[in-house]
Amino acid sequence: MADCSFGITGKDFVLLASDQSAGRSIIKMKSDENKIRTLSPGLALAFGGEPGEFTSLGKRRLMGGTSNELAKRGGESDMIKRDTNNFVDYVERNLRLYQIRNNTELLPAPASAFIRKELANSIRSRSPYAVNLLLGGYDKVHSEAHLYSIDLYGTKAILPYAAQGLGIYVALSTMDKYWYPDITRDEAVELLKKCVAEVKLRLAYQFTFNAIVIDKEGVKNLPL
Amino acid sequence: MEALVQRLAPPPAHVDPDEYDLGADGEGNLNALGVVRGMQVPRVPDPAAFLSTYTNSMSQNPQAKIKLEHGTTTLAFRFRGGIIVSVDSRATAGSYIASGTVKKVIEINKYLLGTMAGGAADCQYWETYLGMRCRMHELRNKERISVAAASKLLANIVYEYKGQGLSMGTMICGWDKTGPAIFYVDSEGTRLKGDVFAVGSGATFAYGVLDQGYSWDLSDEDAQELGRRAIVAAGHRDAYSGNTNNLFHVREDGWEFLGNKDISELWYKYEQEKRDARVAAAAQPGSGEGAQGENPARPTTEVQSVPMEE
Amino acid sequence: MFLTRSEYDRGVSTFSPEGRLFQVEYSLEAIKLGSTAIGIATSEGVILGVEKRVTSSLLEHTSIEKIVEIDSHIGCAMSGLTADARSMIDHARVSSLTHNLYYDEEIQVESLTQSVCDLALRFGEGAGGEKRLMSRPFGVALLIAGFDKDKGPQLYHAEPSGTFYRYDAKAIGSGSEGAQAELQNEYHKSMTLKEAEVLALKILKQVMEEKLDCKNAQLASVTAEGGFRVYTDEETDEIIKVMQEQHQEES
Repeated sequence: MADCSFGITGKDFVLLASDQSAGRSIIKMKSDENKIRTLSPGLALAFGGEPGEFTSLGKRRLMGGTSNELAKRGGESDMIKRDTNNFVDYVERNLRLYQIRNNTELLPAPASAFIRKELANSIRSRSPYAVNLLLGGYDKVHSEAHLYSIDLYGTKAILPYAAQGLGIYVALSTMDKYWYPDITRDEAVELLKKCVAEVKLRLAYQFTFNAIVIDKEGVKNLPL
Repeated sequence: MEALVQRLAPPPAHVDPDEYDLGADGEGNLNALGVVRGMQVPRVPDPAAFLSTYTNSMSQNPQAKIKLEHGTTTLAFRFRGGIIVSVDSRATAGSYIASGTVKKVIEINKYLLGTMAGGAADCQYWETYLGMRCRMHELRNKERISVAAASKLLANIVYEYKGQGLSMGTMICGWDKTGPAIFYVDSEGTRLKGDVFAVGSGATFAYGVLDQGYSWDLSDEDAQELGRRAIVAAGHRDAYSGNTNNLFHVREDGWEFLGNKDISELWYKYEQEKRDARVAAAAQPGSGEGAQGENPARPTTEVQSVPMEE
Repeated sequence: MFLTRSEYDRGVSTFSPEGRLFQVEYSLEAIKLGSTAIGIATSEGVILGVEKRVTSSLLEHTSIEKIVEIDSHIGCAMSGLTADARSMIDHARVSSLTHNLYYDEEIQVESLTQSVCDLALRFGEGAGGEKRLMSRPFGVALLIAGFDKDKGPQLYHAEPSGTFYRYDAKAIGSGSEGAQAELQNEYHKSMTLKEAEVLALKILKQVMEEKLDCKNAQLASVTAEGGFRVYTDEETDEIIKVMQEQHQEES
């Protein structure tokens, strides 16, 4: 299933946007699926599977896994969907567990390190997760907003702005042009709207988007 | 009727050179009327398959020894002041940059430009040939050919060779009696009329800048700047595009070349302009936007924050 | 020559016992029936002038085309069966454009003329196995005017027989005898383009039956800067005026 997500940082906020489509192969089964998860009051994750990697990973599993394992997972085609959701569930619960154990939230930087490590382990396992993430967080200690891009291979990058999925091709250049350091929130929203407009204009695929803004007050929905 | 059916039928996959009398009339592969007939093709059942064995033409065999030029960014758009044609100048053969000074805009005549994407030789030859056919039209009819007719001529030519390994993606841009016009023509035989086109591996990146800055009522200067900026965007993000930008403006009295500029230099110039604009905005009294330092409780007028569901 | 007419004048490829090809000779006669055309080569460029026979006041004179463009640097004037010239001119245009396509340079005027004359011989089969294209020789002669970088302004006369010669000044058509004699008298190597314009019209005036005006005479020039260009009616009228003034001064 084709994905498309964006992240834009300003000095004290991060915007995350993701498409809302879910389906199999060329069929869109749902166009209001929320693919942004709030992990903690100052942390959220936009997630998508990677269809290009699916085949090769699926094949690897076919060769390595037993037929029992495959049955448990409900067949190849469902894997991406389950992988992404499973993984995000797993991350969400572990971050919550950390909060309960230590009575403190994990800041965005260590949270990103934890997620990266999990994916780095996953890619070396028998059944890796096929998931691409944009992690946005507001760091209350340093009063800064951060955006991390983490891919299924465990590559982590701290980025001022990012696009994932099909958005890379058409909207990354839009971000290159209009983004600037310490961009105001209004202009960041305008930029996000430009990106969404570009995706809707140029990609043959029909996307709908939802978006959030993360700042010191927490995570809020952002009507586009 | 049979003749009509024959004409409308898809072209044969293989043309036997013996079917064509190449020696008698005309010169080379042109007949006495100056029309191309039967280019020599390999004596194999499927020339395209043959070609793809040795080149990366069809992307079926990326390991092929001969790598044809494929990476490119070219764009053209129509606006109030005419047409802007903007291209990069990089030629790649696989991961190797074969040239950084390629002319990807082919000057068909004073009023017509063609852009080059795909196989460099295919574009160069067929668009030069198109130039000859356009001139022929001019001499025979005492009237310049329309952009529609010129592009149709090219589309018909490439359609005849469909499936034989031609690789071209071109925009035929010009000004005729109907005003400015752009036609996209490719080696599949597609021919599209339109206002905004970008072709090549970096086209998506060019679109990202072009679409968001485009308006029919752009001034000449703004349109030219948009054309450059979009190629710079593609040169920055697409590894197969870059080096320099060539910019053309087509007006009623023909096209004008507006110069060759280094894409990297332009990129850093644009980045510097962004920084300068921020400094200028910060220095302006009463404007807190973009300024350094804390700016607590900034009212967000456009952004309506609503509580998160779930 | 008509006195020796015999069965040898039927086939285009049969010599008479005296060694003549009558059909080819007759084709030259066809040109003598045509309207007069004059070409004058100067160091500044070449002038072409033609007579247009406006046979009726109802005839639209602009539809008579006796001077045509071959390419931007070559033009030609014709006399004889002008319908035959259509295929010659199309061939010439193709030759010029094809040369440009293959070599990315303008064709030389001599090469172009040679190419036209090659076509003129296609009433027979070629030595290289070329098919016979026409049942008879062309009935038209051309004055080919051009400019190229190597040899500058040039004027060629191409005949239906397939021969061509380069001239400083040449007249063809019905008035050609008188016109050529006049050219012989008046032409000199240092002639300017302006002088050649006037001379061309002056000679046309002498050999034409009707009164000369912009409707029944046409001029064109080939120069280094302007390439081939047909004069407008206004320009022609202007030159006619100059010619008349000069005539009055002389007399």
